[in-house]
Amino acid sequence: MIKPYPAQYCASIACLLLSLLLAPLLFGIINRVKAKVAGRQGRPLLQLYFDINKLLRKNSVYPQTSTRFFRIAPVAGVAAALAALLMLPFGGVPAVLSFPGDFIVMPALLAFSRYMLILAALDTGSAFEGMGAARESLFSAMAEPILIFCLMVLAYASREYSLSLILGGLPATLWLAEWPMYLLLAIALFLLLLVENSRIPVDDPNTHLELTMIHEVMILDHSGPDLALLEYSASLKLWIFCLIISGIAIPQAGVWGFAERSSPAGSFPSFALEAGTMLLMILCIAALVGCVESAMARLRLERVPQVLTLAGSFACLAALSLWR
Amino acid sequence: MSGVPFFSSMGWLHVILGFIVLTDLSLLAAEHRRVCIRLIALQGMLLGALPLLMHTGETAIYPWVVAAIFFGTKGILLPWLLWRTMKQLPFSAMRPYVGSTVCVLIGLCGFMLSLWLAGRLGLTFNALFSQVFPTSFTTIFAGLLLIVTQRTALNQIFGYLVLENGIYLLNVPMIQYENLWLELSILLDILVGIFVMGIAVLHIYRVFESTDVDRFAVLRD
Repeated sequence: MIKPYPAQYCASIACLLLSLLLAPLLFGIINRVKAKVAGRQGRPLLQLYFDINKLLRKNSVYPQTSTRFFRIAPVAGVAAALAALLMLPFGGVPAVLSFPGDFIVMPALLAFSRYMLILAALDTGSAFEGMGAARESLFSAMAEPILIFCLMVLAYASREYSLSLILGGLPATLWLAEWPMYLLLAIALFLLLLVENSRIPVDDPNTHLELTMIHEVMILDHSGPDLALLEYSASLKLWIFCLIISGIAIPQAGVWGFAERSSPAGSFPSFALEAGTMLLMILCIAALVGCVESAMARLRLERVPQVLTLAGSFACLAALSLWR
Repeated sequence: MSGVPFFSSMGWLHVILGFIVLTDLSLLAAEHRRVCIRLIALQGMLLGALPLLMHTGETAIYPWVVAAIFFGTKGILLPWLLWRTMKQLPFSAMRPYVGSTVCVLIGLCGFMLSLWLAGRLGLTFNALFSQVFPTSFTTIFAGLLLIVTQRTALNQIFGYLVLENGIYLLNVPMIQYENLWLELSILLDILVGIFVMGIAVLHIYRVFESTDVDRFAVLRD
């Protein structure tokens, strides 16, 4: 287990707060990129902040058939995403919570969040939401093993079992020695990001056509603060995937990471440099998602498993690249 | 594949070999002929560049001449012949006997098998040969898979060409000894073969109005 120095602990808390604050911005960036590519002005960058603020000031309306699962799901979603975020390092800055095996617990928390959402969708008694829940569970059943496999490959490559050590501040020497694996895993995880966050070409968050909806159909009956929590947990989930990809796609200076974890805590400029690089990378990934959504049409549902096969193939190739 | 500095001749060789494996898997996943031909052209160009990275002999001009021949033939001429043939045939979706997802998974298994084989065979007589063997074997495997899973004659030619690319890849390390004449003669045969096959496919289409090999089986005199 990593025992962070007090200054490192403060840095971890600061990065966590930064993540919580900036997560909804990613949707704004995606929408802005899509609008610019289409030649429109687009919604404000902070639109999701405004929406959440508006929803929090309203009352929730519950379906008559719903039980307590419907009420618990939004809170559970945010709680699970927050717990997962606690385990993720921010570049070279260690996570707030770190223990051996947390790379298995983190995907399990995301799966729990999805499980609660599926229960809430089924709880409404609507066949429409049941259909969305069935689709979500089908695709997540295929995507989650790939995510765990990717993290296992990373754990094997670094010979570590904690996300803070697996992802935290990869030194440039290690990254350059194993760059095919990191690059292939980054591509696999980017495809998983599109699937897990219901983005085009897997799902269209803007559509309300019943034949094509996956995620949006499950939250149709939620309103007020519950809907705000669901939107916020979705943005946290997107942030989590961007954070993982950024962690492996770019080598870090390693000032705060495991490369020099035996040394005293780094200075404030080094922390700012690492955090700034990660932040820039996360925003670039969001912009890339926007570009993909602008360039591609939504795939037919029967073709979604092909995207997952592609992600799995990249993950397998990454594992094979370690073959000695 | 890993453990090699990026900015080195061997690093670039590994990049190209990695891309060749990716083109193999993409060919197995491709569902349109034009995509297949573009991928074959890309693979041909990558293969054409290999002699430049592997040559260690004394003659400076030799690798450039060989690279130009293979780059031009595999990367431009053969894909152009296939493109011309495709344009003269009516559009038809590729309907393989085995789905693309299964094909990619089998291709990955082939890559795994080739890595295992490369370790077991103990290919020590030529260090470069052991480097290219997994990619070469995967390319041969992908070519064979394309031949047996495709339904139309033109698509089977794609497999034939990929198969030959794999054989060529096995032979590229011989560039160290400036000895690629065997491969050049094979390339000439392949060139003539693709040319003849293209014409044959067109004739088959004009007479029988289809290039589906399933329909050939029921042809009678």
